[in-house]
Amino acid sequence: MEWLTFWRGIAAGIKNFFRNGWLSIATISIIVLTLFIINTVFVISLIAKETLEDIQNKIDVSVYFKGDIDENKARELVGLISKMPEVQEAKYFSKEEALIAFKQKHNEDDIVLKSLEELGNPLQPSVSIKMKNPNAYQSILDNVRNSQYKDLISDVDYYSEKKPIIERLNNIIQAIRKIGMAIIMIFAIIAILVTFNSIRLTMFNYRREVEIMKLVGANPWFIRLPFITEGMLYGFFAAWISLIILYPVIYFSLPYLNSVAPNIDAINFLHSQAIKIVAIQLGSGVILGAISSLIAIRKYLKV
Amino acid sequence: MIKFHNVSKIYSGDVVALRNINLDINSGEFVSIVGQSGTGKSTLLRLLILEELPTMGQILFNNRDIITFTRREIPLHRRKIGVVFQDFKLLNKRTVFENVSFALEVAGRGSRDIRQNVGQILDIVGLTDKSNKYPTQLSGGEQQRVAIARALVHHPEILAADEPTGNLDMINTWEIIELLLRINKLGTTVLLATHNKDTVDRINRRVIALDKGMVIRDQKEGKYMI
Ligand SMILES: Nc1ncnc2c1ncn2[C@@H]1O[C@H](COP(=O)(O)OP(=O)(O)O)[C@@H](O)[C@H]1O
Ligand SMILES: [Mg+2]
Repeated sequence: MEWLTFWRGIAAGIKNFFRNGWLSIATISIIVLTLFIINTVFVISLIAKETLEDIQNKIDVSVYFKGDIDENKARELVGLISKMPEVQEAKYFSKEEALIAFKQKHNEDDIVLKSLEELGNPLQPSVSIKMKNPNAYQSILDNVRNSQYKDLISDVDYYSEKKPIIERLNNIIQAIRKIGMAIIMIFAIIAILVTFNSIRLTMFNYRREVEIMKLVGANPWFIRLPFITEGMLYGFFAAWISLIILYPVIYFSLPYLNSVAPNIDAINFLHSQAIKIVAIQLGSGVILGAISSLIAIRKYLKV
Repeated sequence: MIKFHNVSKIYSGDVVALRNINLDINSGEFVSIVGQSGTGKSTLLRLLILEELPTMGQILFNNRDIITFTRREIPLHRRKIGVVFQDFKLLNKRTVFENVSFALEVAGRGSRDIRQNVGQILDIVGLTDKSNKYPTQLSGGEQQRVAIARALVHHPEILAADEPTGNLDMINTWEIIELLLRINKLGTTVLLATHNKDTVDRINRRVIALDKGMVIRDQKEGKYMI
């Protein structure tokens, strides 16, 4: 198809789009609503994911050594643990470091500090382990307990108490994703149906032209192009409106966002991901519109 | 140029519109296809432009079975056969000029090319001075001439007219027939489907008579007789 035909087809589509008036506005509104819901689901699942990661990062397990062990041997074990693939970081805290940390934590509590002076250093050296995969704690602890180093260990700060929380959060996130996808699908289908109906109406108003175009041997793509253009225009305008709405909505909900997920820097996120966000909005809008026109073309435009 | 070989057309619901048609139409001919309403004249023309497919038999256009035309080739085939109808099929929101240029626009022709061609064709059908008028401002005969201009603007090999004078009075009817004869003289093959006895008798050219979907007569210089 030559450029001339292409541009004429696009131009005819733009003309039809503006001729539809109120119907265009209604169609765009429903696509905007769909995009808004897509965005909301996206933000919610992002918050949930961040929260989960946050909690996971805070959980680490501490293995306490007996007070009188050989520090070299302990460090040997720490080196071994930190080389395990599931481990992100394993850090050794000597007796002295533990004391400093303890003093810092209680530096306003005179009684504790005083009694500490009398006791000397009652603390144990320990290793604090951060995991890449929180589910691997158990196996690592088992490994350590069954190794030649088992005699060094006095105590383990059990992770298992925290495990149910993580599992529950994980389940919640999965549920949010599933429900979110279902809602998105429902609204996408509604948006496609409404857009499809608008294009069908244009086809009806345009039926004379279509009939004549077929009779005089128009290029089939020239006949289809105005309708595809129209469908994509609905999505295109809806995407921009959705973007214009998105920023103030995020801005005003920022305090609430930060109260549930303090680690999310929404404004920074919007700015750093601006191109991606615009692309997703335009992409989803235009694809929704194009799908609608293709369905209408298949159903009603026998060319 | 056109060959119908044992062509039958059965519409859904067992309506037999054409039965075993055999025809041979040469380039440059003026052929009237006559018969009462419902005998398959329109169906014959619709098969030719591939608006319908034959149920049986073969239709050859320039020795090519038209059923073998691909999706891309069908529009090109249709540009070789201009069609006009009883109801003109004009776009009322477009001027005479725009109605004619529409056919070239949708085929992707350039605007200078379009202006030149449309001007020339409007001259042939005698509507140059009406080119900025809208169809509703024209008489029936003039509207049909716009439709003829649109059908001719691709310089087709064939002009197929389906009851073009059905909505016209006697004077306008004869004007249109004269125009068709003139177009034929300029080299275009003309197929005229009609049930109007007077016009056919006055044309005095080849007549193919249909009855109940069958060719009952095919005469070189025929009269309308059934
Ligand atoms: N699209 C169609 N579907 C079913 N039957 C049709 C269709 N078009 C025409 N017919 C039938 O085919 C027969 C021939 O119709 P047509 O070709 O229009 O005849 P004519 O043009 O001579 O009046 C008629 O009986 C008509 O009712
Ligand atoms: Mg008919």
